[in-house]
Amino acid sequence: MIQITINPRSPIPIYEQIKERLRLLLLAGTLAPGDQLPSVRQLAVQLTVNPNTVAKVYRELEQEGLLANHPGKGCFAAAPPGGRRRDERRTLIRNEARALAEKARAVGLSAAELIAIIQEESHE
Amino acid sequence: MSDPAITIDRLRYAYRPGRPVLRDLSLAVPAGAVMGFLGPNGAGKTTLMHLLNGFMPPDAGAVQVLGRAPWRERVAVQRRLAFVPEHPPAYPWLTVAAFLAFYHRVCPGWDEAAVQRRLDEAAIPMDQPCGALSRGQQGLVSLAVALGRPAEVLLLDDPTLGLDVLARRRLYTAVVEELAARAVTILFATHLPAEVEGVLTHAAFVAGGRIVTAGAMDDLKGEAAAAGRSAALEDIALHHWGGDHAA
Repeated sequence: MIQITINPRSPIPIYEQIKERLRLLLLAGTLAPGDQLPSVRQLAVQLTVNPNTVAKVYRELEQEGLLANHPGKGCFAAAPPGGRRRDERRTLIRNEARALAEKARAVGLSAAELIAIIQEESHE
Repeated sequence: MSDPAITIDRLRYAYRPGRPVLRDLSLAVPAGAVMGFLGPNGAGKTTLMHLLNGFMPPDAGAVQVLGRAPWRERVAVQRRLAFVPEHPPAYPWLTVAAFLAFYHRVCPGWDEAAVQRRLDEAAIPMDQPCGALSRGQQGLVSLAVALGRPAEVLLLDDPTLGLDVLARRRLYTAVVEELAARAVTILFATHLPAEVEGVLTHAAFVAGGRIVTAGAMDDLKGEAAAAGRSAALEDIALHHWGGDHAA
Protein backbone atom coordinates (compact mmCIF):
# COMPACT_ATOMS: atom_id res chain seq x y z
CA MET A 1 0.00 0.00 0.00
CA ILE A 2 1.36 3.43 -0.95
CA GLN A 3 1.98 5.66 2.04
CA ILE A 4 0.24 8.96 1.41
CA THR A 5 -1.20 11.24 4.04
CA ILE A 6 -3.38 14.22 3.30
CA ASN A 7 -3.35 17.31 5.48
CA PRO A 8 -6.81 18.87 5.35
CA ARG A 9 -5.62 22.02 7.18
CA SER A 10 -3.15 22.73 4.40
CA PRO A 11 -4.02 25.44 1.89
CA ILE A 12 -2.50 23.18 -0.78
CA PRO A 13 -5.33 21.52 -2.77
CA ILE A 14 -5.69 17.80 -2.05
CA TYR A 15 -4.90 16.89 -5.65
CA GLU A 16 -1.58 18.73 -5.40
CA GLN A 17 -0.75 17.04 -2.10
CA ILE A 18 -1.31 13.62 -3.65
CA LYS A 19 0.55 14.56 -6.81
CA GLU A 20 3.62 15.88 -4.95
CA ARG A 21 3.75 12.79 -2.73
CA LEU A 22 3.53 10.44 -5.73
CA ARG A 23 6.10 12.49 -7.61
CA LEU A 24 8.45 12.14 -4.65
CA LEU A 25 7.92 8.34 -4.50
CA LEU A 26 8.52 8.08 -8.25
CA LEU A 27 11.60 10.31 -8.38
CA ALA A 28 13.12 8.73 -5.30
CA GLY A 29 12.65 5.30 -6.85
CA THR A 30 10.43 4.02 -4.03
CA LEU A 31 8.11 3.33 -6.94
CA ALA A 32 10.59 1.84 -9.44
CA PRO A 33 10.03 1.77 -13.21
CA GLY A 34 7.56 -0.99 -14.00
CA ASP A 35 5.95 -1.01 -10.54
CA GLN A 36 2.17 -1.01 -10.73
CA LEU A 37 0.29 1.76 -8.98
CA PRO A 38 -3.05 1.19 -7.29
CA SER A 39 -6.04 1.76 -9.56
CA VAL A 40 -7.83 5.09 -9.40
CA ARG A 41 -10.63 3.39 -7.50
CA GLN A 42 -8.28 1.69 -4.99
CA LEU A 43 -6.32 4.85 -4.19
CA ALA A 44 -9.51 6.94 -3.96
CA VAL A 45 -10.97 4.44 -1.47
CA GLN A 46 -7.70 4.25 0.52
CA LEU A 47 -7.51 8.04 0.87
CA THR A 48 -11.28 8.70 0.94
CA VAL A 49 -10.95 11.19 -1.89
CA ASN A 50 -12.96 11.81 -5.03
CA PRO A 51 -11.88 9.37 -7.78
CA ASN A 52 -11.78 12.31 -10.22
CA THR A 53 -9.01 13.83 -8.08
CA VAL A 54 -6.87 10.69 -8.34
CA ALA A 55 -7.61 10.39 -12.07
CA LYS A 56 -6.45 14.00 -12.55
CA VAL A 57 -3.20 13.31 -10.64
CA TYR A 58 -2.50 10.19 -12.72
CA ARG A 59 -3.24 12.08 -15.96
CA GLU A 60 -0.86 14.88 -15.07
CA LEU A 61 1.94 12.55 -13.92
CA GLU A 62 1.48 10.63 -17.16
CA GLN A 63 1.88 13.87 -19.11
CA GLU A 64 5.10 14.52 -17.19
CA GLY A 65 6.34 11.11 -18.27
CA LEU A 66 6.51 9.72 -14.74
CA LEU A 67 3.63 7.29 -15.20
CA ALA A 68 2.53 5.09 -18.08
CA ASN A 69 -1.11 4.13 -18.36
CA HIS A 70 -1.78 0.83 -20.11
CA PRO A 71 -5.54 0.71 -20.70
CA GLY A 72 -6.96 -2.52 -19.37
CA LYS A 73 -3.81 -3.34 -17.36
CA GLY A 74 -3.34 -0.33 -15.11
CA CYS A 75 -0.96 2.45 -14.29
CA PHE A 76 2.79 1.83 -13.97
CA ALA A 77 5.84 3.83 -12.93
CA ALA A 78 7.56 4.85 -16.17
CA ALA A 79 11.20 4.32 -17.11
CA PRO A 80 13.14 7.59 -16.70
CA PRO A 81 13.26 9.66 -19.88
CA GLY A 82 17.06 10.05 -20.14
CA GLY A 83 18.70 12.21 -17.51
CA ARG A 84 15.65 14.29 -16.80
CA ARG A 85 14.93 12.63 -13.52
CA ARG A 86 18.32 13.51 -12.04
CA ASP A 87 17.60 17.21 -12.65
CA GLU A 88 14.18 16.81 -11.12
CA ARG A 89 15.58 14.97 -8.14
CA ARG A 90 18.06 17.80 -7.56
CA THR A 91 15.27 20.38 -7.83
CA LEU A 92 13.15 18.42 -5.41
CA ILE A 93 15.92 18.20 -2.81
CA ARG A 94 16.95 21.81 -3.42
CA ASN A 95 13.43 22.95 -2.50
CA GLU A 96 13.57 20.91 0.70
CA ALA A 97 17.08 22.22 1.41
CA ARG A 98 15.93 25.82 1.05
CA ALA A 99 13.17 25.26 3.61
CA LEU A 100 15.63 23.47 5.89
CA ALA A 101 18.19 26.28 5.60
CA GLU A 102 15.54 28.82 6.59
CA LYS A 103 14.58 26.72 9.60
CA ALA A 104 18.23 26.34 10.63
CA ARG A 105 18.67 30.12 10.44
CA ALA A 106 15.52 30.64 12.47
CA VAL A 107 16.76 28.43 15.31
CA GLY A 108 20.25 29.93 15.11
CA LEU A 109 22.24 27.07 13.53
CA SER A 110 25.10 27.88 11.18
CA ALA A 111 25.30 26.43 7.66
CA ALA A 112 28.26 24.29 8.81
CA GLU A 113 26.20 22.84 11.65
CA LEU A 114 23.33 22.09 9.26
CA ILE A 115 25.68 20.33 6.84
CA ALA A 116 27.13 18.31 9.72
CA ILE A 117 23.64 17.16 10.70
CA ILE A 118 22.83 16.17 7.11
CA GLN A 119 26.07 14.20 6.90
CA GLU A 120 25.30 12.39 10.14
CA GLU A 121 21.85 11.49 8.90
CA SER A 122 23.13 10.38 5.48
CA HIS A 123 25.65 7.94 7.03
CA GLU A 124 23.18 6.24 9.32
CA MET B 1 -21.77 24.14 -18.82
CA SER B 2 -24.72 21.87 -18.21
CA ASP B 3 -27.69 22.81 -16.04
CA PRO B 4 -27.29 22.34 -12.29
CA ALA B 5 -28.64 19.02 -10.99
CA ILE B 6 -30.34 20.83 -8.10
CA THR B 7 -31.60 24.40 -8.12
CA ILE B 8 -33.08 26.05 -5.04
CA ASP B 9 -34.45 29.56 -5.40
CA ARG B 10 -35.52 31.73 -2.42
CA LEU B 11 -36.96 28.69 -0.68
CA ARG B 12 -39.03 29.24 2.42
CA TYR B 13 -40.49 26.64 4.74
CA ALA B 14 -42.04 26.67 8.21
CA TYR B 15 -43.50 23.76 10.17
CA ARG B 16 -45.35 26.30 12.33
CA PRO B 17 -46.59 29.70 11.12
CA GLY B 18 -44.17 32.48 11.94
CA ARG B 19 -41.31 30.05 12.78
CA PRO B 20 -39.55 29.56 9.43
CA VAL B 21 -36.86 26.84 9.33
CA LEU B 22 -35.70 27.90 5.86
CA ARG B 23 -35.70 31.58 4.89
CA ASP B 24 -35.08 32.55 1.28
CA LEU B 25 -32.54 29.78 0.82
CA SER B 26 -30.92 29.73 -2.62
CA LEU B 27 -28.39 27.18 -3.86
CA ALA B 28 -27.30 25.49 -7.08
CA VAL B 29 -25.60 22.08 -7.08
CA PRO B 30 -23.72 21.60 -10.37
CA ALA B 31 -24.26 18.31 -12.21
CA GLY B 32 -21.56 15.84 -11.17
CA ALA B 33 -20.64 17.78 -8.02
CA VAL B 34 -20.21 16.22 -4.60
CA MET B 35 -21.36 19.07 -2.38
CA GLY B 36 -20.85 19.00 1.36
CA PHE B 37 -23.79 20.52 3.22
CA LEU B 38 -22.73 21.83 6.60
CA GLY B 39 -24.78 23.51 9.26
CA PRO B 40 -25.19 23.52 13.03
CA ASN B 41 -27.99 21.42 14.53
CA GLY B 42 -31.37 22.93 13.66
CA ALA B 43 -30.02 24.82 10.64
CA GLY B 44 -32.61 23.22 8.37
CA LYS B 45 -30.51 20.57 6.63
CA THR B 46 -33.03 17.74 7.05
CA THR B 47 -35.95 20.02 6.09
CA LEU B 48 -34.17 20.88 2.85
CA MET B 49 -33.53 17.18 2.15
CA HIS B 50 -37.22 16.43 2.66
CA LEU B 51 -38.24 19.26 0.31
CA LEU B 52 -35.82 17.90 -2.32
CA ASN B 53 -37.53 14.52 -1.93
CA GLY B 54 -40.94 16.09 -2.44
CA PHE B 55 -42.21 14.99 0.98
CA MET B 56 -43.95 18.38 1.31
CA PRO B 57 -44.41 21.49 -0.85
CA PRO B 58 -42.38 24.67 -0.24
CA ASP B 59 -44.19 27.60 1.42
CA ALA B 60 -42.54 29.95 -1.07
CA GLY B 61 -39.76 29.84 -3.62
CA ALA B 62 -38.83 26.94 -5.88
CA VAL B 63 -36.95 23.64 -5.74
CA GLN B 64 -35.88 21.75 -8.84
CA VAL B 65 -34.18 18.38 -9.07
CA LEU B 66 -32.99 17.54 -12.60
CA GLY B 67 -35.26 20.27 -13.90
CA ARG B 68 -38.42 19.05 -12.14
CA ALA B 69 -40.31 20.16 -9.05
CA PRO B 70 -40.17 17.25 -6.54
CA TRP B 71 -43.57 17.97 -4.96
CA ARG B 72 -45.54 18.29 -8.20
CA GLU B 73 -43.62 15.62 -10.16
CA ARG B 74 -42.75 13.33 -7.30
CA VAL B 75 -42.77 10.03 -9.19
CA ALA B 76 -40.58 11.39 -11.99
CA VAL B 77 -38.09 12.85 -9.48
CA GLN B 78 -38.09 9.82 -7.16
CA ARG B 79 -37.14 7.59 -10.07
CA ARG B 80 -33.87 9.49 -10.53
CA LEU B 81 -33.10 10.33 -6.93
CA ALA B 82 -31.91 8.25 -3.97
CA PHE B 83 -32.02 9.33 -0.34
CA VAL B 84 -30.21 8.10 2.75
CA PRO B 85 -32.17 9.55 5.67
CA GLU B 86 -30.73 10.63 8.98
CA HIS B 87 -32.85 8.04 10.76
CA PRO B 88 -33.19 4.81 8.79
CA PRO B 89 -36.89 4.33 8.02
CA ALA B 90 -36.56 0.55 7.91
CA TYR B 91 -39.75 -0.97 9.29
CA PRO B 92 -38.44 -2.61 12.46
CA TRP B 93 -40.49 -5.79 12.12
CA LEU B 94 -39.47 -6.50 8.49
CA THR B 95 -36.49 -8.76 7.96
CA VAL B 96 -33.64 -7.28 5.90
CA ALA B 97 -34.50 -9.76 3.12
CA ALA B 98 -38.17 -8.67 3.06
CA PHE B 99 -37.16 -5.01 3.14
CA LEU B 100 -34.92 -5.52 0.10
CA ALA B 101 -37.56 -7.57 -1.71
CA PHE B 102 -39.92 -4.60 -1.42
CA TYR B 103 -37.39 -2.25 -3.04
CA HIS B 104 -36.58 -4.86 -5.67
CA ARG B 105 -40.25 -4.82 -6.71
CA VAL B 106 -40.74 -1.04 -6.80
CA CYS B 107 -37.37 0.25 -8.09
CA PRO B 108 -36.67 0.06 -11.82
CA GLY B 109 -33.04 -0.82 -12.54
CA TRP B 110 -32.54 -2.49 -9.15
CA ASP B 111 -29.11 -4.18 -8.96
CA GLU B 112 -29.74 -7.10 -6.62
CA ALA B 113 -26.18 -8.46 -6.96
CA ALA B 114 -24.58 -5.13 -5.97
CA VAL B 115 -26.89 -4.72 -2.98
CA GLN B 116 -26.23 -8.28 -1.83
CA ARG B 117 -22.47 -7.84 -2.21
CA ARG B 118 -22.50 -4.69 -0.04
CA LEU B 119 -24.57 -6.34 2.66
CA ASP B 120 -22.40 -9.49 2.61
CA GLU B 121 -19.23 -7.38 2.96
CA ALA B 122 -20.71 -5.74 6.04
CA ALA B 123 -21.92 -9.13 7.34
CA ILE B 124 -25.53 -7.92 7.64
CA PRO B 125 -27.78 -10.84 8.71
CA MET B 126 -30.53 -11.06 6.05
CA ASP B 127 -32.95 -13.03 8.22
CA GLN B 128 -32.94 -10.55 11.12
CA PRO B 129 -35.70 -7.95 11.60
CA CYS B 130 -34.36 -4.48 10.68
CA GLY B 131 -35.21 -3.35 14.21
CA ALA B 132 -32.73 -5.87 15.65
CA LEU B 133 -29.80 -4.41 13.71
CA SER B 134 -27.28 -2.02 15.22
CA ARG B 135 -27.41 1.65 14.24
CA GLY B 136 -24.39 1.11 11.99
CA GLN B 137 -25.94 -1.92 10.28
CA GLN B 138 -29.19 0.01 9.70
CA GLY B 139 -27.22 2.86 8.14
CA LEU B 140 -25.44 0.46 5.80
CA VAL B 141 -28.76 -1.15 4.79
CA SER B 142 -30.13 2.35 4.01
CA LEU B 143 -27.07 3.14 1.91
CA ALA B 144 -27.12 -0.22 0.10
CA VAL B 145 -30.78 0.39 -0.76
CA ALA B 146 -30.03 3.93 -1.98
CA LEU B 147 -27.18 2.65 -4.15
CA GLY B 148 -29.25 -0.29 -5.35
CA ARG B 149 -30.37 1.59 -8.43
CA PRO B 150 -28.48 3.99 -10.70
CA ALA B 151 -29.98 7.24 -9.35
CA GLU B 152 -28.54 10.41 -10.88
CA VAL B 153 -28.85 12.39 -7.64
CA LEU B 154 -27.92 11.02 -4.24
CA LEU B 155 -28.96 12.85 -1.06
CA LEU B 156 -27.10 11.84 2.10
CA ASP B 157 -28.58 13.30 5.28
CA ASP B 158 -25.79 12.89 7.81
CA PRO B 159 -25.64 9.13 7.21
CA THR B 160 -22.77 8.62 9.68
CA LEU B 161 -24.73 9.77 12.72
CA GLY B 162 -24.24 7.13 15.41
CA LEU B 163 -21.98 4.97 13.24
CA ASP B 164 -18.70 3.58 14.60
CA VAL B 165 -15.45 4.10 12.74
CA LEU B 166 -15.67 0.79 10.84
CA ALA B 167 -19.24 1.39 9.67
CA ARG B 168 -18.29 4.94 8.62
CA ARG B 169 -15.33 3.63 6.66
CA ARG B 170 -17.60 1.11 4.88
CA LEU B 171 -20.04 3.91 4.05
CA TYR B 172 -17.32 6.19 2.64
CA THR B 173 -15.88 3.30 0.62
CA ALA B 174 -19.29 2.60 -0.90
CA VAL B 175 -19.72 6.29 -1.83
CA VAL B 176 -16.22 6.55 -3.37
CA GLU B 177 -16.75 3.31 -5.34
CA GLU B 178 -20.06 4.64 -6.61
CA LEU B 179 -18.33 7.83 -7.79
CA ALA B 180 -15.65 5.75 -9.52
CA ALA B 181 -18.28 3.66 -11.28
CA ARG B 182 -20.62 6.30 -12.70
CA ALA B 183 -21.61 9.95 -12.94
CA VAL B 184 -23.71 10.98 -9.94
CA THR B 185 -24.44 14.28 -8.19
CA ILE B 186 -24.30 14.12 -4.39
CA LEU B 187 -25.53 16.47 -1.70
CA PHE B 188 -23.81 15.25 1.47
CA ALA B 189 -24.97 16.67 4.80
CA THR B 190 -22.44 15.74 7.49
CA HIS B 191 -21.38 16.64 11.00
CA LEU B 192 -17.94 15.12 10.32
CA PRO B 193 -16.55 17.31 7.51
CA ALA B 194 -12.93 16.30 8.17
CA GLU B 195 -13.72 12.70 7.21
CA VAL B 196 -15.23 13.48 3.82
CA GLU B 197 -13.65 16.68 2.63
CA GLY B 198 -11.40 14.83 0.20
CA VAL B 199 -14.46 13.47 -1.57
CA LEU B 200 -16.15 16.86 -1.89
CA THR B 201 -15.86 19.10 -4.93
CA HIS B 202 -18.05 21.83 -3.39
CA ALA B 203 -19.35 22.88 0.00
CA ALA B 204 -22.29 24.94 1.21
CA PHE B 205 -22.61 26.35 4.71
CA VAL B 206 -26.08 26.92 6.10
CA ALA B 207 -27.02 28.83 9.24
CA GLY B 208 -30.29 30.35 10.36
CA GLY B 209 -32.16 28.82 7.41
CA ARG B 210 -30.00 30.52 4.79
CA ILE B 211 -26.90 29.63 2.78
CA VAL B 212 -24.07 31.64 4.29
CA THR B 213 -21.46 30.69 1.71
CA ALA B 214 -21.19 28.10 -1.04
CA GLY B 215 -18.48 27.37 -3.55
CA ALA B 216 -15.90 25.03 -5.02
CA MET B 217 -13.60 23.46 -2.41
CA ASP B 218 -10.40 24.79 -3.98
CA ASP B 219 -11.84 28.34 -3.99
CA LEU B 220 -13.04 28.09 -0.38
CA LYS B 221 -9.65 26.75 0.74
CA GLY B 222 -7.80 29.34 -1.31
CA GLU B 223 -9.79 32.18 0.26
CA ALA B 224 -9.18 30.86 3.76
CA ALA B 225 -5.45 30.47 3.15
CA ALA B 226 -5.19 33.94 1.57
CA ALA B 227 -6.80 35.38 4.72
CA GLY B 228 -4.30 33.50 6.89
CA ARG B 229 -6.93 31.09 8.26
CA SER B 230 -6.90 27.28 8.43
CA ALA B 231 -7.98 25.69 5.15
CA ALA B 232 -9.63 22.73 6.88
CA LEU B 233 -13.29 22.54 5.89
CA GLU B 234 -14.37 22.37 9.54
CA ASP B 235 -12.53 25.62 10.33
CA ILE B 236 -13.91 27.30 7.21
CA ALA B 237 -17.42 26.29 8.32
CA LEU B 238 -16.88 27.65 11.84
CA HIS B 239 -15.61 30.90 10.37
CA HIS B 240 -18.66 31.32 8.13
CA TRP B 241 -21.18 30.35 10.78
CA GLY B 242 -19.54 32.84 13.12
CA GLY B 243 -20.64 34.04 16.56
CA ASP B 244 -23.43 32.02 18.16
CA HIS B 245 -23.15 29.22 15.62
CA ALA B 246 -19.46 28.61 16.27
CA ALA B 247 -20.09 26.45 19.34
